[in-house]
Amino acid sequence: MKQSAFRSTLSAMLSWWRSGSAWHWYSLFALSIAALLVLALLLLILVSSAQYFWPQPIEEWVIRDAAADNGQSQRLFAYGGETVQIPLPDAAADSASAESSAMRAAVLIRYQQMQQLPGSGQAAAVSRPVWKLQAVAETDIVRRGRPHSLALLTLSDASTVAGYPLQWVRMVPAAASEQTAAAVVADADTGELTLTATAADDSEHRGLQLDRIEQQWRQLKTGQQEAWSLVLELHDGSSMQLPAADIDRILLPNRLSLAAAAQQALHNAWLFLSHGPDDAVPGILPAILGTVLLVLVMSVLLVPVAILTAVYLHEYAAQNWVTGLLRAAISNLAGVPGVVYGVFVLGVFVYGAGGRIDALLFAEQLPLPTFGTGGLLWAALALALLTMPVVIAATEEGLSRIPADLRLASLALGATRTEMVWGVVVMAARPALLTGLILAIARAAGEVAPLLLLGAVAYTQQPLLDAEPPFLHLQQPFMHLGYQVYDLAMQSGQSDTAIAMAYAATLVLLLLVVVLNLFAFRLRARLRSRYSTAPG
Amino acid sequence: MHAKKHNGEQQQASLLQAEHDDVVVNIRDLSVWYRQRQVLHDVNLYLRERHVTALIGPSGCGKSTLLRCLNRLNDLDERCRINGEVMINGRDIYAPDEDVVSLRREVGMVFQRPNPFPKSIFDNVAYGLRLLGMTARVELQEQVRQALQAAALWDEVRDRLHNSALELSSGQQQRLVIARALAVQPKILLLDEPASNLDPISMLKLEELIASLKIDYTILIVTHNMQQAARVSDFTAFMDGGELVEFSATGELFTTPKQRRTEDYITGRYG
Amino acid sequence: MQNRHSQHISREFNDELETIRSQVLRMGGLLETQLDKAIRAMLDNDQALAAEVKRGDAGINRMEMEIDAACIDVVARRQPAASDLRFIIGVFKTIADLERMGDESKRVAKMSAAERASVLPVEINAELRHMGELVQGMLHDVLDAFARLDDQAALAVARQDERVDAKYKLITTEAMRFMAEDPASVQAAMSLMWAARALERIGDRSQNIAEHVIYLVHGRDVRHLPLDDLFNPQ
Ligand SMILES: Nc1ncnc2c1ncn2[C@@H]1O[C@H](COP(=O)(O)OP(=O)(O)OP(=O)(O)O)[C@@H](O)[C@H]1O
Ligand SMILES: [Mg+2]
Repeated sequence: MKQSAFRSTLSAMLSWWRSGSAWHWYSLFALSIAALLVLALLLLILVSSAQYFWPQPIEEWVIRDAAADNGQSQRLFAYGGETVQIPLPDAAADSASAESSAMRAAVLIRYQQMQQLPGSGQAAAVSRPVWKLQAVAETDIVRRGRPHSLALLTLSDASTVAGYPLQWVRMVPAAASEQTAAAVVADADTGELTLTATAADDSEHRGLQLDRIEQQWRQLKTGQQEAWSLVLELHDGSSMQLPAADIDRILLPNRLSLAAAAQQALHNAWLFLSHGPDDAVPGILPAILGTVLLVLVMSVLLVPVAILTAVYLHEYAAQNWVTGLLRAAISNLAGVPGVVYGVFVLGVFVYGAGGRIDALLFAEQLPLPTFGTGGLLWAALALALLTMPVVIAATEEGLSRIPADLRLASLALGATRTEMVWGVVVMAARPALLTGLILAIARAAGEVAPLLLLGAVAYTQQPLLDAEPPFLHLQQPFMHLGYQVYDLAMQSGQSDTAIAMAYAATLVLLLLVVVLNLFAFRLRARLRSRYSTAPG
Repeated sequence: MHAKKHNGEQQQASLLQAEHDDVVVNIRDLSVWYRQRQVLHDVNLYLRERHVTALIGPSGCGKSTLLRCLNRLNDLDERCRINGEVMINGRDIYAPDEDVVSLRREVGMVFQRPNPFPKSIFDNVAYGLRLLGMTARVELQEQVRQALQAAALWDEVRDRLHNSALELSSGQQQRLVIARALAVQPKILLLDEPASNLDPISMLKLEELIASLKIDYTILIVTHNMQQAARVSDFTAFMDGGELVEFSATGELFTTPKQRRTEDYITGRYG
Repeated sequence: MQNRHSQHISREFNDELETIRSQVLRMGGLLETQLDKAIRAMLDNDQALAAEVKRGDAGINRMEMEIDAACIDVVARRQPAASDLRFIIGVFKTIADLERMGDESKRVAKMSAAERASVLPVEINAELRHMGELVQGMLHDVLDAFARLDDQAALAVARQDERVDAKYKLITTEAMRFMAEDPASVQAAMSLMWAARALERIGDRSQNIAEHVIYLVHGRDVRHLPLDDLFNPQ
């Protein structure tokens, strides 16, 4: 009884196995693994870069003043960071040399500090807040907290200032109108006008309503923006007057709602995308531009050569062992590491051809090299060489999929061979070419190794595009997203911020590739839907 | 051919004499090899001007190969070797000084499978005209319209000339490729199973079209549909295994074939 | 040419053609009995047998219609070509001839010998009997030629018709003579002439069928050609 049940189960399993539906599940399983890995990677990149953009709470710290060493404490406005190990202070190291290698726990913070700017001419020296990075020994921390009323102002020069907003003030103009006076209250002592809120408030900050600070600021800004200023209490207790017109954004990071935080994150992301590294908010716009230009120049170099090669191999060359060998050689080039292409281009083109060009055309600038050093053009060339096999293979594949009937039809109508190849076959194979290009772009955009040798830099001030002829400066070193990621990752030992920024740059690179590919996809889809049933 | 003639056959038989002065294409002892394999064996056939000749025979017997010899499309295939003579208007088309491109303009061809270019309907028909150097828009439009009308397709596509030709049904595609061949106004038209994808009514329309084209063109049509061959052609050639078995006036071939192989083929017997 | 109806790729087509062929032969067999009875009824003046012949003709007519329908069906569905086409057309014509021969048989049966016996010499009946035998022989041979698709046999049948015609001429001349000699014998002589004429017609139609068989086998239309030139095997 039992045995027959077992046997029937077994035979059911066997027949299930033979039916082949097992393969359905295996393939599904494989797919889910692939999908999971991709999802995990995307999630990592998204979460890590979101950390970079998400507004951080700003803290008020009270620490023992290490310099004074007399128990005096100091107030700081700071972004709290990760815990690191730092060596003991020098003094301790001096006295106890045995312990010189001893470490202690510290927290890395970015805090606001006053910086004296030397006065120019008659103008008095001014001090303004800047942000500094410092490790604070854990033992030195007296107190840290996140006061709700601490504000972060972004100024029109993109610098930021943290402080407690106190009140709105303005200098009394010679003829202050009564209407305006109705909205503000005169301060008897100083003769300044103070804005009193329309509703009753705690008025701790005299005339300033923290909940509505942003609306107030907008009101004032659109109204008599010249006149009003915000009085801010800085970390050292001094106060600072900031004209409303100079303020770009007011943020209370410690009392942000989720929506507001998200909004701020998007704003930060936008700043990241739209600024250069020199701006107060560091951004990667030049790197984006550099990457896009690099890919475009690469495509321009790549496409004609790839098409011609594929067409020659497939349409004109006799199909014998020589072409077979050539084809195999080209395909195998796809396996050569990118850096080899970098070396090759460096040796042959940069030093060889570039040096020649400089000697001929830019002799007056020597010994400063123009083309004789790494630059966008050479980097694009290396990437073009690197991705050429893929595009050639894809194009040839596309050409071979054009039915022979189509060629014969063209010839039968009196086309010459050239007219047939270019007017019909290559036209019909365009989607395949685009497929190759899509693969090439994806590969090239993420490739860093050859760029290390060919002019990719972490920072340059020379723009690739400008208003001066010849507008596009292909000989110049350039910034590149992939290189930025590489560079930031190399620095990442120093700070979490660098790592987060590397992820952010990766995200941008990814999005850029997606955008470029979408463009090519749409082009291909249009070509296909218009004219072709043949898959590309 | 047969030697003896009788009253009724006299006229038919005389149609078949190669000495006619209206023979446009004369194929003499044509043999074709693909690599080592001979696929045509000493074919002798001629086409008379403004007549329709049908070519029938089992699949793989070399009909398409024979057609391709007439506009030298076999040239493309380096494995293909040709022996014999093909005279078109008294000119040996395999002569070394023959201009293949102009030959192909003279001998239009419609392929076994409809093979429109992946271009718009208009561009398909205009393709040959553009190759001829015609660029004037108005003239092109006029010629395209005429060709499409001749192929009985105009009314169906007149308001979507710039859509892809691949949107058309296969019957429409078949007429489109006929229009494409007609547009360049060849003198000789080779039709390789032009009705294989057509419904009976479209097929009759196509036959009607062939009948009307006969006024201007010399036509060689390959078909597997014997009724169709019987309906459209003046002469019929039967090929089998790369040989031209029998060539007669159509009525004669379909009622009293001379050769047993022909008989077996057209009556559906196994030989 | 042997019977090749069984060599089509379509077995159903084979069966259809074979059915038609055997139906024609059955119709021919029926006609043969009819003719035999008719001649006997005429010569023996057997009224009952004559009535039987009259009734029997309906069977021939029905068969003609059946075969006709079968042929039309084959034409519509098979689109026969070449020998098949000729076969069907030959059958069409043959059965039409057979049907007419049935009518002529009826006519033969109607002519009673009783009238003739009174006024005409007995020898003339013998001539008529002989003619009847000739015609029966032709019919038999042509049906045989049809069954075997034998063009030689068919040609031989066509040749026989000359003898029937000669017999007919002889009988008519005799009959004319009797009429001229003895006005009282006009009735009997007319009956004699009618019978002979009907038999002659049957002979003619047998020749027609022989020609159909030749067409069917060779695809050559041999009607209206001088017999000597008619057939010349290649
Ligand atoms: N390009 C080629 N290379 C090798 N053999 C070929 C080639 N083209 C045709 N053949 C061979 O030549 C023979 C004749 O082919 P062809 O295409 O002329 O036949 P067909 O009569 O047109 O048949 P169908 O009615 O199926 O179109 C076939 O045996 C085929 O295998
Ligand atoms: Mg073919």
